Amino acid sequence: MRGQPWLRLLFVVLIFAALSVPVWRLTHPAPIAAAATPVAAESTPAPTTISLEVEVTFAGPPPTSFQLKEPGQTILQSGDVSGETTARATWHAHLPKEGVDLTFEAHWPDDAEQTAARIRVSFPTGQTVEKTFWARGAMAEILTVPASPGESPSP
Amino acid sequence: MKRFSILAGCVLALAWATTLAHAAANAPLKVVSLSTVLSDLARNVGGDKVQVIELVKAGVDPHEFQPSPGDVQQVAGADVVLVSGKGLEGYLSRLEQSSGGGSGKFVDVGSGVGPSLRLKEDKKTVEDPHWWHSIANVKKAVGVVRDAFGKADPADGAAFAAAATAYSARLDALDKEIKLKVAELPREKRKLVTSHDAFQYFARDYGFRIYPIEGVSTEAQPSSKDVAELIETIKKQGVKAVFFENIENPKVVAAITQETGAKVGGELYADGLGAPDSDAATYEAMMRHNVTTIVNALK
Repeated sequence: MRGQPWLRLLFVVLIFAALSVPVWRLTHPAPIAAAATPVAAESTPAPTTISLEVEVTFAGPPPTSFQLKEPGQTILQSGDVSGETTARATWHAHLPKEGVDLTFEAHWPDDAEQTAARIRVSFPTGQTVEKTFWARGAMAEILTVPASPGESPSP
Repeated sequence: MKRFSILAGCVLALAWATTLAHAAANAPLKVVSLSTVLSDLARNVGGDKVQVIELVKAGVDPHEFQPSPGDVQQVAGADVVLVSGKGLEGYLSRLEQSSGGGSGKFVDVGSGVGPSLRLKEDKKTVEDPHWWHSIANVKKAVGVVRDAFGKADPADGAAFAAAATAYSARLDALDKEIKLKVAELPREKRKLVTSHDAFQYFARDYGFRIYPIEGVSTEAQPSSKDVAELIETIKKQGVKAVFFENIENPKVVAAITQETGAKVGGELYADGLGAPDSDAATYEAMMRHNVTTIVNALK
């Protein structure tokens, strides 16, 4: 049977046919533009939405202006305190596993004494994240709030 | 008359020797630097009391630099040689030997900035030599440079110490400025795709995750499998931008952006400062340039 010419021809054709697919793929890669797909955050889990109590306490006279914000949203600002040494707000936070950086900026008169501001963020569980900053005249500081208190934010 | 001539000769010789000694005492310290970042630190700490000779100039890849015979001569005549360390200068032992060594004039600044980050490359663990992307490390480096200059020129030690203190205060302000700029970028967006793995110290300090195209050294080229995996990662992580470096060929970055749909984020300075006419001519300017480029592209 192996001596039959038509069988030998069929055998060779089948081998060529089988090899043609991988050879075609190797020598004709898909064009780059065709492979481009829109970037989408597939593996990033949706951030947890949580209500957190935020409190800013000034050790001395409150600043002439201040602002506590996360990227794209102000949480607390000067109008919320009106001469008091403590300002509070509820922050409906979207906390990804990486955490959120809060920026605190405040200004006092140029001749003001050195003073301190404490920022405290309280979770519904009763756990808190807080930091105290010292400055004279102006303050610009960062407080990182992790997805769950007690954990370091993951990069 | 003969006695007078001898006396006059002695006075002249003494005056000549005094002038020479005075000139030597006022001559700036000759400092050879093996990194553009160290050159900038040396100028800031040494001021006009040092003459900085850059062997590795802006735009030169320090991973691939090899000293010329002229460079060896410069090192031989130097009072202090500033070395970046942590394995960056693979040619260092050859340079030390060929320049005649020198009693402690080689100052390994990198060894004085604290522990190295260790990274996997080609199944080996290697030291990450890019310590200057951490301002905390650079502050320690300023102390190392101050001490080295003070040891080589004790008469100007107080001036070096004052300049180092002033420069460290500027670095503190720069660190705060960078933290505030980075805070504009949500932490979940701090994903940095760069030409080679040079920003791990920066990532550690400012909460980024790095996805490098090449390894720690620019000599380690990525395989097509590595690039394919990186493309998948960029898509999955939703990375908005990919960055190229001033001394790297941006073609691979361009191809990756085409494949992923991410944009080209801009040029970063990874292995040293930019040219004197660039916006990264000093260490402080380089850090500002890099951070602004990264944050604005990833927002």
